[in-house]
Amino acid sequence: MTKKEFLYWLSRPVLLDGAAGTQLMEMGMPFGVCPELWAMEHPDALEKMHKGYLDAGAEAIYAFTFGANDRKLHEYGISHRMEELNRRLCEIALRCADGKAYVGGDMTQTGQMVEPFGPLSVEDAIETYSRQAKALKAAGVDFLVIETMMDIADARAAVIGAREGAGDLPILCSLTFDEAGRTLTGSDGIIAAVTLEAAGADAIGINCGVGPAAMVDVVRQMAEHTRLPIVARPNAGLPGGKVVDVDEYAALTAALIDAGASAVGGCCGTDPRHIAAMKGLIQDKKLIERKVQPYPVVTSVSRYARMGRGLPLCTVGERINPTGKKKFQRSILDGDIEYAIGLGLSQRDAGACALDVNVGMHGVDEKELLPKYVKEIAGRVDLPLVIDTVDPVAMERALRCYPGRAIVNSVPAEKERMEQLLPIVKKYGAMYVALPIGDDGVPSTLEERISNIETILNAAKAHGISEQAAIVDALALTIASDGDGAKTALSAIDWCKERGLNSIMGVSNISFGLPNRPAVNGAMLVAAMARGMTCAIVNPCDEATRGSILAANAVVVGGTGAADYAAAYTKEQKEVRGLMDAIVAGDKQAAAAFAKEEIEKGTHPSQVIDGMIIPALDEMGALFSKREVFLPQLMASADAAKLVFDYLEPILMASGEQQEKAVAVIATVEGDIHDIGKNIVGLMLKNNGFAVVDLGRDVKKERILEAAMEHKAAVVVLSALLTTTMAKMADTIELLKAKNYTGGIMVGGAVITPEFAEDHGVSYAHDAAMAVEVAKAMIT
Amino acid sequence: MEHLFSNMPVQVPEQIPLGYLGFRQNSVPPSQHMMAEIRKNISSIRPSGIIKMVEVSYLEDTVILGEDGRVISSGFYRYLYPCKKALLMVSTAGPAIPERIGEMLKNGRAEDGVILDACASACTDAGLDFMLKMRKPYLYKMGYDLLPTRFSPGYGDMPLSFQRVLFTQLDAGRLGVALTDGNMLSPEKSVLAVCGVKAR
Repeated sequence: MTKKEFLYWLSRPVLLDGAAGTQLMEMGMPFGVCPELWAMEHPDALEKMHKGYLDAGAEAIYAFTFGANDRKLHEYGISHRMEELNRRLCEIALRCADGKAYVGGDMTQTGQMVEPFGPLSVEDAIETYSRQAKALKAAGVDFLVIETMMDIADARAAVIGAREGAGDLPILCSLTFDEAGRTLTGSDGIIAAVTLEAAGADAIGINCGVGPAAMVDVVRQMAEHTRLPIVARPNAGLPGGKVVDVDEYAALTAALIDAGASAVGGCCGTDPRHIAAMKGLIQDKKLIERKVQPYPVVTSVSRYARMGRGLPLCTVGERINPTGKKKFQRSILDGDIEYAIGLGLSQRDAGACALDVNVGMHGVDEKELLPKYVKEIAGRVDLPLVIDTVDPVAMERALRCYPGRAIVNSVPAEKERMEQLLPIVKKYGAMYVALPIGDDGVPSTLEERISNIETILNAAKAHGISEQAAIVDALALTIASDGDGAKTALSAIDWCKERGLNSIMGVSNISFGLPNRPAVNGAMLVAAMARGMTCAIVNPCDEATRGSILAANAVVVGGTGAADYAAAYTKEQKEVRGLMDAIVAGDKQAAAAFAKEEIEKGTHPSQVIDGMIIPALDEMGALFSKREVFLPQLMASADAAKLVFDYLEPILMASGEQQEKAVAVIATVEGDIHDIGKNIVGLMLKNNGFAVVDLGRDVKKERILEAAMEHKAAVVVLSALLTTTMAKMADTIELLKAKNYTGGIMVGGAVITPEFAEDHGVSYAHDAAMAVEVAKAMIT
Repeated sequence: MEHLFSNMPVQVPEQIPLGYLGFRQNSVPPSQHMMAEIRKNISSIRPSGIIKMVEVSYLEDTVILGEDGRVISSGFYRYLYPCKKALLMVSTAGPAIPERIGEMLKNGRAEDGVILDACASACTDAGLDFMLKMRKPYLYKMGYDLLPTRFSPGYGDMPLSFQRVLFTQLDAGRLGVALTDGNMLSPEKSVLAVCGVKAR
């Protein structure tokens, strides 16, 4: 079948077949065997299954080649029979269809997670899918089906592989979503639609995982973001869940046509009865008229970014670029990708919509390095990426392994570069930044820039790339050297607006060489947005830039812009009337300010501690015990108290009035490596006036005794989190007592009970607040 | 049949770490800062893991996982019997997070430290569910289903020493996880578990 025939076929409601594996099990296929091999060796059963669906009215059946990729077959030691299995299983399906129904060559995941979420390289995955697709094409199927895919990265690799293996054969790619409308790795229907269309799928879909009712929203999302046909095959019986009645299932599934699906069929738990029940329900239906969103979208695995007029500015974080950044350069040379990931996460948290990734610097091989950075960043930072390199090989390698729809930065109006880059943009369905720099360099006039952009758009069109994929770089040149630099860039934006094109700008370029650059950048940003700029390359971590963007969105775009601006700058208002209040509220800044105020007005430091800090901490302890505040609030107040102690300590020391503190020796006992709870107790004791000697975790009893004696500890605090280490705790207590340690002993930890403490003649605390109370009681 | 996972993009509802921190539905609402930290953490922590299917056999009161993974625990026996297969799993948030928590507790960011601690626990646990969800549809198509719950060493009467059996069978050291002499997993935010696989 040609792609044109495939799309024509799916231009009306189409009925597909139902579940295969469960049907064959009912016909005797045992558990644990290779299903494809068993089916090939039992052709009568397979024929019966296919014919059952054809008789029920299925207009296409899937050959039983679902798991017949060589990686999955390897689990049964028969990977060498991949081509044979695909050929013979397709022969059976084609024989049954007998030219009266179409046959899809069925494929699914390899079983191994693909990078960036697993060890299977994207290239190896592509090759695996390519080999099976080639075998299916050779076997004569009408189209390919890639189904039950749980991860968009894997699905994308499968579509690329299928295309490389089976040429122009139509490809349907279908993902499995959960009840919340997300795939296992967090993609929604929008991300799936955009990413799979960009990868080259001819139809997309949803199958397995959930029943028909839970598929409605995903189908709607897809229908609003692609014109590709959508196929829905819900489960009738959910794994571990209830089985849906046949008629109810048929009615709900047929209704998916009204949500935007072009074809429906069945997945787990269905049989020919479900298909037959649907036949009558869909034959009079018409496909709905799609209202596809006009905005282009770029995607990561679990987030997407839209751009266009009337939308908030699409901000691209610029910080993953070593130019002029010595620390980043060093990290690249040291092979420290974590540094770049940190830059990505901080820009995400500061509100970036996408991230520019550039690793080009002297002494590195971008062809190797860029794909590596792109994979790692895509695996850890959930924002769409803008891949930034002048090396076309590095660009293709990076795009190939990027698990979403990326932006290519950039395609200039240089003949050779366009010839290198545009086929890549097309193949991976990317968006691209059209850079109006031609073979003659940077044009100074608007007319020359427009001419260069037209050259790029025309060349792109010749490669089958729509204008919607372009984002025109308005080229902001520094106004310090070119007084009209801003005006020319703004005029370019006017032109883009007129043409309905998206535009972008590296805003901070405008202010090079000028004082108070944030003011200039902010002015440029607002002016450019007012003229219609839809994207900007910025440093979102810069507070002034962030403020300008939020303000510009509020002023220029409107909508929720003002509310977003207000929310970004609205802090929770807590009424803090003094140092005690500030510590109870965990407000560090206020606590520091009030403490300073107290000292400046002559309050003695020890009075600040005993009369304000300790009572505040006591109050928090009481609230914590009553479950009116929780651990984070208790810790916030401890943090505030610590800050004030740190401020007061040198003052106290200088006054020579610092009192000797009672010593608390704390440790997690031998064999136990948990120390977070112990550290919290240590912090609380310190704040309450104890000198804390923290011995750490997995501490031998002899070491604890030694420290207790050496420091003349008033209290020894022992922590254990596991039943197995309680015995070590008992040994430690015994030793301390045997060696005449006379201070108090307190125990705590998840498994420790008051009874255990009582049995061993020591004190017990079930949390940090109680530990403070018990320790205080021991020294008074 | 084993599968390795890295950077698992686990989806953790905010209520889970909030629950670990003590918050309940009727509690005073958490602060903006706390919620922002939770959102940041749960979208940044990406555990690694291994899942492996093994055959299960039973000998009197002993469960045998694979060829020689002997476990004596009546609770585990009751949980698993009569499954003939089981999925063994390890999930870890890696060593950097406990280190960061320790630094935060020491350096005046104890609030953020305990929030990160709760989020890391939630994400590590979610790593186990992630791996099970990945395997479930395929097993279902093969005629299998998973038991609705998991079992981990330390639950009920299953001794912690059983961690060594799972650790060895999974070769969990590949993820940078170690087992101490006291059978504890290091780094701290690591967990081992078993899920029974039954015929539908």
